[in-house]
Amino acid sequence: MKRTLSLLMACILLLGLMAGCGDGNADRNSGGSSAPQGDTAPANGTEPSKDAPQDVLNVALVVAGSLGDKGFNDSAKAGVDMAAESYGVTSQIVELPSSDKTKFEPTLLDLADTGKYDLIIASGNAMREILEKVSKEYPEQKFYLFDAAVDYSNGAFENVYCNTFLQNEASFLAGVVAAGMTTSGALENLNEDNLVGNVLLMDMAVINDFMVGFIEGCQYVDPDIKINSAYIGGVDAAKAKDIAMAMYQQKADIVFQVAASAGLGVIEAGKEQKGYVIGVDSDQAMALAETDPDAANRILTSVLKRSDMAIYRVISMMREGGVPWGTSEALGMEQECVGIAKNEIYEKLVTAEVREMVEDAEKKIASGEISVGTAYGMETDAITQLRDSVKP
Amino acid sequence: MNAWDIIFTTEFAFMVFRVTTPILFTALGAMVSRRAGIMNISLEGMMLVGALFGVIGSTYTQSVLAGVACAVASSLALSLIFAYFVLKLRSDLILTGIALNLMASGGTVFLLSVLCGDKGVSTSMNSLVVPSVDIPVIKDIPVLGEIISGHNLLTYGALLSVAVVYLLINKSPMGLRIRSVGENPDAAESVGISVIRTRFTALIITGILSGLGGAFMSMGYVSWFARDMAAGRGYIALAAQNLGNATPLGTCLASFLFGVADALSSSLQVLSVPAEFIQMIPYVTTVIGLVIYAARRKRQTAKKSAAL
Repeated sequence: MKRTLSLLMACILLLGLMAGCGDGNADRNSGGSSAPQGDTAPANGTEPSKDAPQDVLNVALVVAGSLGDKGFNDSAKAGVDMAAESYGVTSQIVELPSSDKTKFEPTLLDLADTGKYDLIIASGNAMREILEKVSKEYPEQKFYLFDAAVDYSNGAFENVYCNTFLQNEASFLAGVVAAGMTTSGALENLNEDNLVGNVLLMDMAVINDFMVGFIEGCQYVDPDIKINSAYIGGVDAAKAKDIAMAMYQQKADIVFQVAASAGLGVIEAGKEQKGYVIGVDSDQAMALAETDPDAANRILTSVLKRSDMAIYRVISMMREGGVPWGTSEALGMEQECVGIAKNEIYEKLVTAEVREMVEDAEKKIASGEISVGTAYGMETDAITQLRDSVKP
Repeated sequence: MNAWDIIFTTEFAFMVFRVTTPILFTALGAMVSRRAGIMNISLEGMMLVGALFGVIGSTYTQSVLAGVACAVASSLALSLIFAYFVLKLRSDLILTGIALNLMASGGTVFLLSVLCGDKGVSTSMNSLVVPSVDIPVIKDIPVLGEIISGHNLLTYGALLSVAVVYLLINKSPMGLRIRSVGENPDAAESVGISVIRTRFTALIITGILSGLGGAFMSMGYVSWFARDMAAGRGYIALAAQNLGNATPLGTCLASFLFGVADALSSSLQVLSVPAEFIQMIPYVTTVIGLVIYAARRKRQTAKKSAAL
């Protein structure tokens, strides 16, 4: 009895463990199965890649969190897929649960140790420190970090290229849309209070960068506008919905969500309360247009943060031999890596006058006439002060 | 805007009911287990599995009732696995609970990706939600009507469950057996009550209630399943049950206390108070609640020993 018991107990624990890292394993498989796709892509396409096999890159993409977030991570995968299609790049995608940071380092070490990847791609601040360590151990291996930058004052990191996104500039445009629309009263359910909302995932620099841009964009249109911003504190869609419901009830008519997959809760609150939403990362209106048109029609626009473009760009640059290794660059509207979604719903809901203001702001940002503030390097107190100064 | 303008609104009170529903269902489930002498920490996993199967069931049958039934059945199945390991094989309660929670967390994502090719959310599945209902007469009463009427059917179900669980535990022969097994299994055994069978029954009830809590998460609170969407509510339910001293009414009140704290943390951020402070409210409430509970119990034990 005792022996069967301990055996069964061991089995269930093992099952539990397997379940816990199930996504990781499953993704390795799916990454593996996507590799042959990459191989066949050039054969189907017109580009003859056989002539120059050295051109074909083999890349590994490490995703913190999981695919299927309908946002940033899926977009990164799309970037690798795009490269597979046009260059025949083969890839392996490894998903790591963002809750388990202990897996980051061994995974990066393993990938670097194989030596078969021309480029290892990682993202986010959570990976930064580990990448700094691993890249020093494998100086021959090329690494690409997006949405964060290694601290180049800690070393040369000549094998690492980093990209941050100018999400503050795109958020500025979202602010122009929000403030322009809430003061216009052009749509039903836009009330007289010049108050908009901002639901944020967590109090951290990359998220606050959206907020700072959004606040400045709102103030650019209406210096007296009020912005109610709130943090969820974790990926919890139900809680995100509660917060957004409270905002709509407190008379905010447009809510900008910066909450990864939890942001769907905000969109649902917008649908129920007949308020308006500004999405984030990918074009959320178009993503929902088929399955949930009612929700899609409440999304004025989305702030795009295109990791697909960033990844595609770096792979293209590698093939042409122009990557500035050992530096970090900020990608903005010029590289088409950030921006706001101008889809049919945007054309339909946002008034021509506001759309014109957006075009105008875009030009001014590009020319440097408007310089948008950033949360990076900003004191915590200054961020708090900015946030509180516009609260109703 | 000040705090009172936000708290004393019908919308806030309405929100409290919505936030409390999943906690209340699950806390009642935890309470029944606890009464039978089982500390059940796999509630989180049961809710999660229930939430996923509610979506799956309603997608494939296009019937709300079948969706809820699927949610309950799946949670019940997990509860039976827990019961089998703990009661038949006498494995450790906590370890089994942790294993099941991990299995639920990974397993639901796996199943989701198999069914709809998506590992994050189930928005591509055409699942249904449990309808909200207006209560006739009451809905026309000002203020009260706005607070009490118009909730999700499962919210009323949760309130009704309080009464049902009360009758079950305090007034039925089965409840008597459950309580006696929980308080003194040896004595219960000696008068011919099967401890294992009684505990199985208790865990079945737990499974049903947590399944309903899970169903509300994905078929009422929001209209889709997201990975790890229970987000700690199973553990909060366990704390609520403790705080409520394992009585139905106490559990209900404690669940509402957590509901109020959580609703506050969602709606008070408009004030210029640090967000972390407001996010802390539900957890501080837990700690304070547990301290009060422990202090009261200490006094009771002191009184009891003094009486002897």
